Amino acid sequence: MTTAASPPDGSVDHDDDAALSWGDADDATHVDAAHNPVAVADRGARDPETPETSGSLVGFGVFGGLYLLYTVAWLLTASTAYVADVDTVLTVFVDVLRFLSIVAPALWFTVVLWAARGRRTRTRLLWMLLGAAVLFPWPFLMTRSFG
Amino acid sequence: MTAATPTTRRSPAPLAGRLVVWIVFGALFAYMTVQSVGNLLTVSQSVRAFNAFLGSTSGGDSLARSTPWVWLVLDILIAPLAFAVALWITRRTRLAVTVGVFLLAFAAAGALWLDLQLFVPRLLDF
Repeated sequence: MTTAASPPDGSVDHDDDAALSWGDADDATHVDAAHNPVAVADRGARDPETPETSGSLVGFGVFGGLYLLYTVAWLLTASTAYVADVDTVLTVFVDVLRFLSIVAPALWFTVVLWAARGRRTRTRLLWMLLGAAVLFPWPFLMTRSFG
Repeated sequence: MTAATPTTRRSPAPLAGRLVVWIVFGALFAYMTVQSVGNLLTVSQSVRAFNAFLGSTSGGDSLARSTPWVWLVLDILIAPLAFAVALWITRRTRLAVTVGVFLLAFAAAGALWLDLQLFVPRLLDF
């Protein structure tokens, strides 16, 4: 945010102590700090209308790609038998979780970008990083042998 | 020069709507927690029974298993922790955001829960 310099105001009572004075108040170039309050942005907040920087777009793109890989990995392990010999309610519950784990990466990406759009880029990227840790498709690694 | 655009602060979701979200997802998270507690009891009993059986055989003690308490307790903590985080995030948000965050918290907790349902039995490998 930028602030305009106020016109000189001779009526303001200035302390003429040399050490604290920045010049004559009647001077046309004089800027009076008392009339130029510095706007302090709310920490952690950003204007949602502000376009994303190229750096943040790259960051979100990287996480978007990673989350897409997660979705594929969860999809490939969709048929994994997580529980055995359980009642119908738990079977349905696990099936719901099975579906939600597949859509969770896309959901996380969308919710962070949508619900936290007023937050700083760094905050949103940290949430993305947390999502990458939480939603890591361990069943994909556990049910497959590599090499 | 640009003037600062004042941020429009939307009013939080009505209490009735939030209550419905809390109750619905609270029940789902509670069910997940109950299943995790049952899992802890079942696994610990199985390990105890297995070790007791090994103790009755000659030289079987070397095959004894230990109960994976850390993972079983973590399994129980996932759902309450996810619910608490979702509650904290949505304390001043609109209803749509509240629903979205709770759904995401449930999905993320579910993914972790499924991880552990697969991982804990592999630690025992009876």
